Amino acid sequence: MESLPVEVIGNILSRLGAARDVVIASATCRKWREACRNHLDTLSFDSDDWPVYHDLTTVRLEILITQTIFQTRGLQCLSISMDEVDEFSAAPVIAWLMYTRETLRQLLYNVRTTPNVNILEKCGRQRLEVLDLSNNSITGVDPSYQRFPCLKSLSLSHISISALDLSLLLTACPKIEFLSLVNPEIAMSDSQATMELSSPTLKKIYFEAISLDKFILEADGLESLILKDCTLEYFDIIGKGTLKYLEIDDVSVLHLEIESTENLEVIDLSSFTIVWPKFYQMISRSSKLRRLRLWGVVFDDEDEIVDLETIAVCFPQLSHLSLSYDLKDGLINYGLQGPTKLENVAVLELGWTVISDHFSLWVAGLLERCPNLKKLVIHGVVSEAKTHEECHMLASFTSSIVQLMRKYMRVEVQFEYE
Amino acid sequence: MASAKVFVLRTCDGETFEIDESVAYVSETIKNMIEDGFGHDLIPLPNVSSKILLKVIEYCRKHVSNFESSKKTSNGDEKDKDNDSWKKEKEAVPEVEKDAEEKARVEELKEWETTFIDIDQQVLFDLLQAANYLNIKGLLVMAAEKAASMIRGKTPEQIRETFNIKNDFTPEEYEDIRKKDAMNDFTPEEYEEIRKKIADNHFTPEEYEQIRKENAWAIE
Repeated sequence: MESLPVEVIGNILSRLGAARDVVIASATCRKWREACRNHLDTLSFDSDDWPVYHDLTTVRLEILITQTIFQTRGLQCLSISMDEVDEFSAAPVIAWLMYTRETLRQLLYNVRTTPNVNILEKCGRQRLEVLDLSNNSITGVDPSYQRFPCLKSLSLSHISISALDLSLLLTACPKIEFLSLVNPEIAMSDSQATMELSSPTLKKIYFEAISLDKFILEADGLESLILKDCTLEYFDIIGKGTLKYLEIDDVSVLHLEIESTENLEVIDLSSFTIVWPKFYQMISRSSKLRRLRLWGVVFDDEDEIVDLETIAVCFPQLSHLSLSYDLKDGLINYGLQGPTKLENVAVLELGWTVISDHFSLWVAGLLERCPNLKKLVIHGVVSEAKTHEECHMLASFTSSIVQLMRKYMRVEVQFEYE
Repeated sequence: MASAKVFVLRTCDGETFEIDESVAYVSETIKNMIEDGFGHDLIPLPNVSSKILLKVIEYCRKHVSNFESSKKTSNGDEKDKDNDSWKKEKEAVPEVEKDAEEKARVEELKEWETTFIDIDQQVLFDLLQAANYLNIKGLLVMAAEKAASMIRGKTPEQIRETFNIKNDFTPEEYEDIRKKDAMNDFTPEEYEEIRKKIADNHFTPEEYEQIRKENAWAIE
């Protein structure tokens, strides 16, 4: 250990992350102290790391963080995540940001500051690659002098920002690849809430708890889009057909438009409220689709039901199909009509939320359409208060499945009940 | 197999090892030596023992074969050789959905890594030295992570014991450090307990010896 160069010690200690471990390590001997002083690139103050953090006053924490940061030189990754702290005062926060300005590549900060600190203004911009901010406000974005030439990943959670500033911020990040917005407080100037975001370099987007009237997203390089718990009236995604992965969970959109869907490989929808015929039309061009999941969706009438013929014809490369929706009388047969087989489907996942007699018929119908199936997974919801009727249905379902699977001996069957 | 170039490495204890060009090139140091024209004869590695070089070669071979199979499962993009879990840097951009084959490959690699780095301390330090000298980034990262895992959660004295480090601070320096860093050594409760004990002198001989050593500046 004696002969390891101080830079290597610094490399090792940079992997500790938690500030307390780093400080303790720096108290072992001179070489390690020097390593922490001059060769430490990562420091993290996370309330999960050390239980004693909870017992310290905010002022004490501010002092502690300041003392520790100021004993380093050349810090590249700084993470301050203190869930139990209401707010830090502006002065120490500004000090931390200014001290690390020249070298910082990654910043994570989740504590409110009072008075509000314009973090984008104070933090290092030249080298910043990852920025993860929560519980703060962003105002007055000016791309003419505020540029983030290296920023690849931007995550904003519970941030207060205007639609205009958000849009300007993206233009100030010429290399941005990942954007995450969680529960933003978006201030609008118009009476109609419109947001327009544009970035040719964005590859992956994650939106959660967003509520907007009109949202126009222009992302020519977009490969992956995840929406969770959002309410949108009008969502228009303009692109050059690079989108491969689409995941939507607990979202309602009145009007969704995705410019080019030809290269979609995965469509994962659950608890999704949309006008289905239009949606089907839009994704019917996704001939490269490998995985399709329609889970916990509601179809109001037969126009909306998922019909296997269309799926088989439009998605010849489909290998993984997951379906779970309320099976209404008469609609099952409608969905099962047609001759075309799902030749490439190897995994089939079928689920019920309320068990019914129709379910086993439906399973049987689907098995017939998948000649090369390897695995079947049944997802069932079993209510706490099991009525006699429900038990009876579960029993008859079990019997019918056993009989059914005798015809398909090659298929592996799994059950997941919750 | 096509005529792959082979190089011979010689360790400090006189043993020789033959490796393919692709495996040799995983080490920046060896790569530079070869490119500077030193590859024709034996390449001497006076700082590396045969025991350690065996381990290093094992890593390099895995690295090469992993890179080959990753090229097959990815879209054939020119991926950086240092990519994958070897880097272990915080993912700046989360990966877009990988397919099953790719996921399996990454899983297998992680498992291999865990077994590979499950080595005793002395071997770990020698490996760190070797990885640093031979300039093999991925190996250095892996070994450094392992070393960090051995440091986490320990007190300074425990760390010194584990790594056989001499406490070379003067009492004054140490006092200064303790004042500055409220987070080292004892928790507030521990410290309170110790203060009380010092007052009542309820220590066992071993406890007292430990405390005496660490607090020589105050007690002696």
